[in-house]
Amino acid sequence: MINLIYLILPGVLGVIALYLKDITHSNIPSKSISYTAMGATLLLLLLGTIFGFSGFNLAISKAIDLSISFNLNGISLPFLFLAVLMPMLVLPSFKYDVFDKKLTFNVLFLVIYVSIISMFMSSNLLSLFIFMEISLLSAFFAIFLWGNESSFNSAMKFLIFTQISSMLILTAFLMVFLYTGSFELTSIGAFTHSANSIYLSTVFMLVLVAAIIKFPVFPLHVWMPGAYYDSATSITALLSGLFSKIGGYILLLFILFITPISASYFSMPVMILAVISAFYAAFIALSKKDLKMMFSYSSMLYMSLALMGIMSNNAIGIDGGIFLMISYGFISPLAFILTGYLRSQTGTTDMTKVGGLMKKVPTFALFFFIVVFASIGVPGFSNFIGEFLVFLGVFKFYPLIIISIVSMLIATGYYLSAVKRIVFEKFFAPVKNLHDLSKSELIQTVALSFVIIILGIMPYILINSINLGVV
Amino acid sequence: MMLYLILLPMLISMTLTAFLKDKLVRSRLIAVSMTSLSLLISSVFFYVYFSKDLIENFSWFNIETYTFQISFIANNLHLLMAVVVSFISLLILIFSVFYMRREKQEKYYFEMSLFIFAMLGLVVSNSFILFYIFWELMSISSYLLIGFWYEKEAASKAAKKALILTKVGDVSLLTAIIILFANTGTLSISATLSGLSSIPQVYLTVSAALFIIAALSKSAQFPFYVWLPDAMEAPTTVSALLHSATMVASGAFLLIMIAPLMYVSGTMVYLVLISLITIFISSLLALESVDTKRILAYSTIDSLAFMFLAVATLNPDGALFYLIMHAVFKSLLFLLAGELIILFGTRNIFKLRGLEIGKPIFYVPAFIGLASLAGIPPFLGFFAHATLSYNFSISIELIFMVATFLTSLFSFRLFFTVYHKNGTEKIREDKFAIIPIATLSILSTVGGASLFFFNSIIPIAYSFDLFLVLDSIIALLGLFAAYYFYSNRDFPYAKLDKKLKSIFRGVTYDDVLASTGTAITKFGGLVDRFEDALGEAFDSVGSLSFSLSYISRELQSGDLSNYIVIFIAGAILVMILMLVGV
Repeated sequence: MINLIYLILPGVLGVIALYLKDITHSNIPSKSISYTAMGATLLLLLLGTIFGFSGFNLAISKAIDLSISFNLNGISLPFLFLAVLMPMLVLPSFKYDVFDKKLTFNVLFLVIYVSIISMFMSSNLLSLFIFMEISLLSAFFAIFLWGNESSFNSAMKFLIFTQISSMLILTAFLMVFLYTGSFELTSIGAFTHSANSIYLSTVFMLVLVAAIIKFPVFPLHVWMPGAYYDSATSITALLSGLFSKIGGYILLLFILFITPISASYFSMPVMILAVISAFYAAFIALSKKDLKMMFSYSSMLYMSLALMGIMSNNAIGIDGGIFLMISYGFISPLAFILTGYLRSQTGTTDMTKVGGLMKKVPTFALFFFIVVFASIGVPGFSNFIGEFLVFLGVFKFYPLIIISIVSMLIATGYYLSAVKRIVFEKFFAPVKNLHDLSKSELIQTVALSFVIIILGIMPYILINSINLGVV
Repeated sequence: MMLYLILLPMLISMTLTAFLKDKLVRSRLIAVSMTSLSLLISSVFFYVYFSKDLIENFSWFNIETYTFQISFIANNLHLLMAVVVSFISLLILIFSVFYMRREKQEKYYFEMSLFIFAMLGLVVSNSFILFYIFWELMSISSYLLIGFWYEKEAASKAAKKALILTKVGDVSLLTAIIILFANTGTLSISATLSGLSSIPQVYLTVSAALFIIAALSKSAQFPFYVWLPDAMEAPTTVSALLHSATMVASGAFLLIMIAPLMYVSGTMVYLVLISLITIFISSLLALESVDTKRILAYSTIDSLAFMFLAVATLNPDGALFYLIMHAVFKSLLFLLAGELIILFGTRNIFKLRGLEIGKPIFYVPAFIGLASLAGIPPFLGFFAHATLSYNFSISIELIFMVATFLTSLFSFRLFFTVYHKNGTEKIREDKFAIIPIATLSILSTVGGASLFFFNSIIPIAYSFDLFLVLDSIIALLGLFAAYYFYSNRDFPYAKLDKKLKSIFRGVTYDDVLASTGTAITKFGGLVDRFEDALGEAFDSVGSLSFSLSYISRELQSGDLSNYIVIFIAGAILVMILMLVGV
């Protein structure tokens, strides 16, 4: 039995080790410490899935019911899997943008790592909020310090928007506390699960708006293009692969455990919003000439589809939404790693300035194909399962919403245009000498592709770990 | 039992060709041997399960009460298709040894193995989701193969166009599957077909329409036909396998397989209409093409429309027989075109004419193939027409006779243009090229006899009636007309061609397609500008707060006299308010 606290111990120890390294001016590379910490966490997670997890509870203040309690609820495992595995595969990309303050970068990275894992494991809403805030503040610094020239503005926008959403979430949590007298997820669930009132609907609406900001979904997504584009490759991968799930996770907690009945009232309007957002993102991605922007809006498209699935009020849709989120949480880092590689090799991510890469760097082209095929839902890759389940669930809820499947066509359109522009035809680039993927990049891309394919062929790995009824 | 064994060799082939360098183990050896193994296994299964019906279910994953199953089916129809697919694939792979010997081997054989794997899986799957998976995998392998020579802009454009157009069909197919699954709770095709009465009529009609759209897009019918002629940028062996015999036939196969659903949905009259439109458009476009592969591409669209017409006239088994026979003679014709390309370096029929190709080894198989296509007895096509037209009404029969004339005309236009005089060129023949061509030619000649004992495999009806006799006479008329117009290539021909070209310029709606694409991208640009405006709106909220703070900052001026003024003003305000009674 692995106690859940062990999952964050390696990370915390890693941060301490980095601090010690700074004091003693040791020569150990910071990244080794990070990798060790993350690898240990992964190992512990695997051991935990084999032997089982046990909860952890540390009461800090009885008066406001603040305690650090880690307990797995029905939907934690998939998100934990994403949060533990993905950052480790994304870290090597720091070499593209992080040229100074490497120690600080690793510290921030580990802090984000630990806080997000803690967040997904928390069963006490207040501590969940605290961990979320820690990760968001660290993300602000991560975006700002290693991004490009306009990263300060983007980071500020990110901070303000997510802080507004955090305020909404905190308000919702406080309202729940006032209603039930507890922050503990299990006791809240018992109280509110079958209750229905305007009060609870307001709570849900606050969380909903917060999630719309975080996913992001139209119309509160305006922070996203800047934040994704201006940050370092590894940070963008983290943002789109991990941070965008936070909103979904909290929304799911409310839909499944806290206010299920109120959630069902909001299904229809939110699904319509999600459909509009999906088409919106798809059309914008179609018109973008820059690869990184295209992938950012594509990420928004899939998050909108996941929102659609989550709000569909049936198990298939919800499972599909979760699966789509996790699946895209692996595909989008792969996409951003490839754009980071492209930028480091040719100096640009503009699709009109590069072409015919298949001739010079075939391995890059191979993984680019994997990203494209995986995203558009080719079976054998994980996104197909997620999309299929989402559309099925959505149809069961209200048949006409299946019209959103046309967004997949638009996605195919812009992805294939991207392939045609940068992979096919004659080679041209600002820089003539291109090196194919290096060993570290190869490890990253192979590992991520491996996960994507395994999830696509054996989806039950993830689906069996989801249990929608249990808190 | 263990029907997936049919697929296993191709899976092995895919993995090996993907990871082993050609120098280590020859990719073509892997591909050819694995395909032979698949053929062997399919034949064994066909024999063992003859006249039996076996369904195998595997549970893939489940969500609460819903189980998503993978299921395979073994009955005459499906196993026969498996045998045919693996047989034709094997012949074409053998030809590829000759045709592709100067190309990148691993990539080609990997993509071909992927395709054959998908096609074999498609024909034995009994689960809609499995069918969709293989359908989509075929689209992808087709995309990769069309873009095989990716450095040519024409090939990369053609690949993109093909995938986007077939994706429309894929999306319709997925929607139809979702509709059916939501209504029946099962993904099994056999279970759905036996439970049709429980589905509301509106969903039956909608899903049937979506299935038809999927089949139309995959089989390059109107209005999706534009991708197939451009797909001829692919290596000819790819055109032979994918774009004539197997992949494009899978659209017709889909409709044949779910025929019961089609027939209760009331959409067949539209399918008849679409097939007839397609027949005429493709025949006329074939008449004005000057590229061997393009002519064959249009002829494929034409033949597929025949199959759709048979399905639409409630004759799915006739369509199936035509499908199988078509695979034989069409791949033969494409292989011949490929041989001409390799040996003479051109696809243009006039340039080929100039090379004066006249040796029997070239024109005899060509004649056999084209005669089968036109429906001239005693070749394969004639017998196929017999069963294809079983349910035709008089009006359709009349229209069909015109179609036969056009088909014969453009087929023999190709023949008489290319094979002209008796040349004396020395050409070295390659055994890898000869074997498949010879096999297919022999099959095209004697294969028609299989019509008579096909009934024991799948019950089909055929009739050798007056219509058929008239039809073959008209085909012969087409042959002679072609001989008259095109054998003597001087003045009359050039005029005819020019006139045809001017009439049919508008029928390939490439421009419409391109402008639709541009329009959609421009719309995306508009949305993008809205996005920028939205971003600026939020920014202005931010700057508004800055402006407000600038103004209100002035209040804390640090100036004592300022504070006193504000204090007095505030006190007066409060007194007024108190007096008013607030």
